[in-house]
Amino acid sequence: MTDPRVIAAIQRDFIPYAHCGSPGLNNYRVLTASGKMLADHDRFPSEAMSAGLLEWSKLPEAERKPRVVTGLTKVNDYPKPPDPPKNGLILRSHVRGLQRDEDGDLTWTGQLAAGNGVYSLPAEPQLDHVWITQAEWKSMVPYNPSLGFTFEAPKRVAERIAMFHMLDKGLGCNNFVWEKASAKMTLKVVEVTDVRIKMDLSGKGLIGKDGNYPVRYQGIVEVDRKKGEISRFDVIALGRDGGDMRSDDEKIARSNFWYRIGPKCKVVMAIAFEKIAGDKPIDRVPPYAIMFDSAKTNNKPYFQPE
Amino acid sequence: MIPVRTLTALTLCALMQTNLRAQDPRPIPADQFEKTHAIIKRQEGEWKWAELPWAINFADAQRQSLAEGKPIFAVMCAQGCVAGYV
Repeated sequence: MTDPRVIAAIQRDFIPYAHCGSPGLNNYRVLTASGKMLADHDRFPSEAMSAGLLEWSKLPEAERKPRVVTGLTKVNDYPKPPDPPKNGLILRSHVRGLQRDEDGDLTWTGQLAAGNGVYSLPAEPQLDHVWITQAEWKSMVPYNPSLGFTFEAPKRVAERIAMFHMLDKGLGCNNFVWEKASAKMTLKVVEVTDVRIKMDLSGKGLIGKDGNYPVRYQGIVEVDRKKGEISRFDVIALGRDGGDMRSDDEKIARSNFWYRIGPKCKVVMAIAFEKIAGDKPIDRVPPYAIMFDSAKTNNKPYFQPE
Repeated sequence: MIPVRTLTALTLCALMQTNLRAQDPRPIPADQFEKTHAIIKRQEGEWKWAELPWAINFADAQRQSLAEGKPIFAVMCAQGCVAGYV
């Protein structure tokens, strides 16, 4: 999927559709609008695309030409993903391990090693979304703010982020949930104007299989006072230096990934969160834990009860 | 005078606390926050396929397919969604 020729071909010849959540199933398909499968391939998108276009060209012209849409064939194989919470807040998380160098600075690592280290992949961030309900984000907007006013962010939000969003495959994290996670986040008002409230966010989480891997939260949250909305939610979650969760032997196992780091550097879990508008379909992809139905698989619903 | 056993215990506690602190993540200096946030995030040129106009609702893909006369290219992703977590 990283080949620019494949990306250009998708854009030129196809309607791209990303199915959200197909546990146990990885493949590429070319379909008609009625859901008929023209071709598929388990590994190479280009194979599915070329075979699919060939089959497409064999269809009657009436089926291929653009037309006014008057109705859609009901297709059950591709269910609609759940919508984000109404009037909720959507954060995008960018998961990219960093390295701490000798001077104490955080910099990019080398590539992500895979397959016993035989090959490498670009260490591009893993992406996910955090969903926060309207009631939850509203409780982070101080009603009558004054400088220095400090209060706790909703525990459900802090724990949701720790439980479902502190995951980096390059550090040996679980697939989509830390069952023993705990966290606390605090907001402190540092600036109040007619148009804006600015708050520092700080906190600590404990993740990992035994709930003893510490993560520090730091960030800036801003409120647009005219709209009464959170306008900025820039937060970083940072792990400790030397943060790979595995032994050296475990991490080089065939199916694992790990960050290649420079000499005298230590790998650090680093996850950045930012508010996104949520107006594009891609912004509305559900959090990974929802797609994997953590409520059923681990008895840990994404939205924990009060 | 403090008994030797108490002193030993206090020293051990202090050492353990030092060790625990060493395990704690270091804070990001305030003047480094924006830069650090920026380097963690997706950079220009990364995940180019994420810029494709993905539909995530099949009905939307159907509508577009009919209107534009193009087949649908579907990515079924066991690891969540190709347009989201990877």
